[in-house]
Amino acid sequence: MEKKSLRKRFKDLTKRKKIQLIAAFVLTVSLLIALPVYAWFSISSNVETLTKIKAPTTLDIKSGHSYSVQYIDLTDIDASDVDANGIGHKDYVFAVKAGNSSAYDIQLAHTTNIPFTYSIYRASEIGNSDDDPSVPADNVTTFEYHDEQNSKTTKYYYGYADADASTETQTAVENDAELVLTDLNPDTANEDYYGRMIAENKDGTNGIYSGFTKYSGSDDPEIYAVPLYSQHKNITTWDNEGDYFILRISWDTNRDDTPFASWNAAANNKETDMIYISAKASASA
Amino acid sequence: MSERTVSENNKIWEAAKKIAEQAVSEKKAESEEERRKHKKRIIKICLLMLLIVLIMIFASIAWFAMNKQTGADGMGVKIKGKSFDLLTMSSDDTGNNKGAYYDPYHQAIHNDDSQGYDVWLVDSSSNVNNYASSGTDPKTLGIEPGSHGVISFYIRPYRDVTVDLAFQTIGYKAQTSFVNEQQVVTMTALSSEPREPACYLNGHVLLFEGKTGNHYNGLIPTDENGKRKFSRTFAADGSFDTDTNGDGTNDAYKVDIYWVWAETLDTLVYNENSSAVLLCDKDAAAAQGEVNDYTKVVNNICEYPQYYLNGYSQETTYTEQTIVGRNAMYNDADQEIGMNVEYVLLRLETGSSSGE
Repeated sequence: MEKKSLRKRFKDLTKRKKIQLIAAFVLTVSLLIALPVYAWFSISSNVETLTKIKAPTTLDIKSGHSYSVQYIDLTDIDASDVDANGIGHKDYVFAVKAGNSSAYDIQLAHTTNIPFTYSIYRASEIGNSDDDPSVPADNVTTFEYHDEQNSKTTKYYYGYADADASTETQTAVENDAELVLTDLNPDTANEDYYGRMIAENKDGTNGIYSGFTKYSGSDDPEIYAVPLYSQHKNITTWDNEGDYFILRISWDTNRDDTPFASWNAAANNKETDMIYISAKASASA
Repeated sequence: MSERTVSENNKIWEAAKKIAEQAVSEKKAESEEERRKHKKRIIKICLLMLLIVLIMIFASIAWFAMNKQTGADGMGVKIKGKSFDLLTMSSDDTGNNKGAYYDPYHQAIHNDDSQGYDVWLVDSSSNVNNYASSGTDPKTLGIEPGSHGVISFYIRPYRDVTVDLAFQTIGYKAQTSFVNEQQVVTMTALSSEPREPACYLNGHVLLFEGKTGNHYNGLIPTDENGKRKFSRTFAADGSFDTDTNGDGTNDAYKVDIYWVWAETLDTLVYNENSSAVLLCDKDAAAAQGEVNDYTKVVNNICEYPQYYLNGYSQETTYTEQTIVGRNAMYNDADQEIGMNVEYVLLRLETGSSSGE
């Protein structure tokens, strides 16, 4: 056989064979290079950790019998509806649905054009008109629910419950049920001057009163328009689906013992006030 | 006397001889050919065997010997080993240090992919609210607005090196199903596209390099790809603070990463009508030619509102003055996270230029 040169031999191959030869050569070389180097880079360079995102608290304010908040109806206040001493009051039911909070704070804020006094009592639902159509006893607050679709009105009845108890405990004693509200911005210095407590509209003597900031660059707002804020903190959740409360709005038609007597006496004189009820999960819950 | 003459006989003899010789030489040639072919075949086989042996040698060397400095003469190539090790360590040997959600959630994330990863080991002082020792109420684990903490890792350098790392926060949702009466957990990664709930993790869970008192410093901001790049130089002969291999001498640096889920926008952007405490000191002095950390946070919000504010507008150019007080947008984003994202994966990767 003739000794052909490598080049000639390569040229003599068919195209197919040439491609195969080159491919095999390249693969072999890359295998030699790739294999020894691979082991250095296979050491992991990622670390990961997984944590859970807590579900947001689903605090909500509802009306009686845990119906939607739109059914809270603060109407029909007749200032002339008073007892022998000239004092009247009306009760309304609202609920706080705590969701997964074990404790919450309630804040009541109201403007002070009308000389109303506000108090909140802890309540529990004691019956309804469907189960027992008889008229309930005194000291029972009624919440009426009008079912538009079925043209039916159901009354739900609420009695007092012990505000300090850790579980739902009914009580007949009004004082035990009262949630003592702490005023956050009372104008204590001028209480005697006005004859009743209204809100402080400027920074307190110590500067900013707790949690509030005066809006800088703005005019001092009308003193009676600044709402008075009151809070009760760390209310234990009894029922995550709804804890009931009674909001009592009280008035006195005779305040001659105070300065500005006619201003301090309640009357049907078309004054307007706004009430804000807020609930927030307690910081420690 | 035969009919053939002597010369004729000689001729026949010559011819026969020739034929015989030809036959023999042909046979010789044939066997030569065969021998040559045979030789070639043997040579080819030998070469192939040599190649296989070489490959096996290389493969085993790579497994058994991790060279730090290798010179391969004759190849004209110098191969360097890794310049640093990234380590996580935990002080206890319980299974808890893989995080309370490792089994089954973290494990389930990598069921379908082959991506290599190590678990970032956590302990009671360094965790993302996912460390559970016995008796931990599971309700206290997990993060929410206002949560904060520290998570650590260690760098063991083999020479002076600038370490480039990248953090990522990825949202996940879990689904539990039953297959053959066995509970199977499937983890779905949530999209981090703008306006998706998991996208807000990039801005709401912030990572800082340091914390002094109540103020954080050294923000590791999220870039346009959802990655938070971190870069630090380590000296090979510097003052180490941790002994990672138990030989009695310190050989690694501990790096603490402070994580915080800012509760409201007022903790990030100064709002004069709010009494919220800022996470970063607004009036801190800045390094030469740089801005302070408070400004870095504000700049990150303005540059990437999709990480912070729900309902942001793409047309708006946000500035500090225009984002201040937009608490509702920040709170809505928090709500989006809370309602849609169940788990968050914090991943730390080495960058492309490190560990060369």
